[in-house]
Amino acid sequence: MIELLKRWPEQSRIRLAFWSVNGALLLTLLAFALR
Amino acid sequence: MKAFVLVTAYLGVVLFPLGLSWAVGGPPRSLQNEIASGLGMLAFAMILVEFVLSGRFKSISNGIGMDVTMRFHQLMARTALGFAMVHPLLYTAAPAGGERPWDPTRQLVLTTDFTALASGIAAYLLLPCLVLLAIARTRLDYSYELWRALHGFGALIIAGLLLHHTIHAGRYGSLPAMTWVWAGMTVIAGGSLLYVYLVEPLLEAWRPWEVTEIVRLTPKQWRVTLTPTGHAGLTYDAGQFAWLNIGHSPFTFKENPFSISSAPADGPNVSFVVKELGDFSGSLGQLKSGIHAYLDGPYGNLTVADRSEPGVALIAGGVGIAPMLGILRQMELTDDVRQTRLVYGNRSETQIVERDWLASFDTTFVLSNPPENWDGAVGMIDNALLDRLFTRKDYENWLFVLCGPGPMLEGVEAHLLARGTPASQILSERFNYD
Repeated sequence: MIELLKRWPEQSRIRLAFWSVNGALLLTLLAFALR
Repeated sequence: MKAFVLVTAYLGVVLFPLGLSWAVGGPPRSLQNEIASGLGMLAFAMILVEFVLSGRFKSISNGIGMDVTMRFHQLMARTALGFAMVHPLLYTAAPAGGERPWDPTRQLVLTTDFTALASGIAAYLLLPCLVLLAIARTRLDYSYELWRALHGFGALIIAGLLLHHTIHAGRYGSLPAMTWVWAGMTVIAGGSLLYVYLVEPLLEAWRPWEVTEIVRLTPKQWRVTLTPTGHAGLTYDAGQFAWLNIGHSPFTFKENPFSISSAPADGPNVSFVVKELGDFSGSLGQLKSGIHAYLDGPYGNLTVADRSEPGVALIAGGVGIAPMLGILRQMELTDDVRQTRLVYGNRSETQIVERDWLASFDTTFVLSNPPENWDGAVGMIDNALLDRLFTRKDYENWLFVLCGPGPMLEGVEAHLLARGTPASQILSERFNYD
């Protein structure tokens, strides 16, 4: 995975971080709402 | 690695209020109401972290680049705006109309206190303005200085409104523990703004500089040299940049980031190559030597000092040459044995700075609009040109330092990665990151 990321352009890695964070936020929100 | 740590820390801070509300809050309400409250909390936490992301904190931006942290700041602002806009639309419950003793945790009702709602409504209207004005900044005709002032104080006002709204209207935010958490986070966010606009300028005021040389290098590019007044100067690595304020009070918005084009080994004087644009740089010709200046820096990760690669490729477009001048100068003065190769692109011959000195290195000048007798490369810095200049071994082993306009950086970076250069061996800095 790390090796694969090393082949990604910087802007793509920023977008990956952005969508990963969004995903983590939404999943946590769902867990909070369904508790 | 540092990026992973920062993203994890970001998530930890943004999720902290939600997690704590989960722990100390009352019994859950309907799914829709809980999502509504959760979106509001996440949006507020993200807005507060935006202050720190956009501040000039070297511990955050150095290493991964200020352009990267600012891009992340811009992207996360869009998510925060989306969360904030959806948050009030999801609530479904009876209006409270005062306290209900049988429902002490406000499980069944929503607040109808007008002042608590008014601050939220005001923030609801202001937040899209703040984000949309930022996105459209380059298309709108207002100065960089005015933009910074509006964005900073606008964000501070919104944070204040959101704090009031959260701790008065919020079912979770009004809990004592959460009130303290939100107040603490807001103070830290506001403090980071205060640090950038008050503490940093105070520190700068104790370390003034004087403009000692202004030289026109090309029709639109100038070299500005500063000499420290009563202090030892700036500790920096060749290739870094600093915020330059010429002729104004240290407490001003009239400062701009420029790459340092001098080398630390050159002595305490610091030089910049500045291109005339619509901001203060348009009046450089009228500046006189002896005028006072202030520096905030150094920032940036475009440095080759601690790298172990056998070769250093410097690829610059236009005024992106500025950090490369410093890097080459430093390598020359310190008898650096690493092989270097510079690829320097411009539109026309008159835009080339320090041409004679740069020609003493392994330099390929590239012009997209060359004169008739031009003997350098023609066109753009493209894949074919790079393949002529670098071998497969170079691609895999050298350090590549890029500075220039976005499309050039993206094109070169994609080609380097396709040719086997690890991402860790590509350093780049964009002009536009604010």
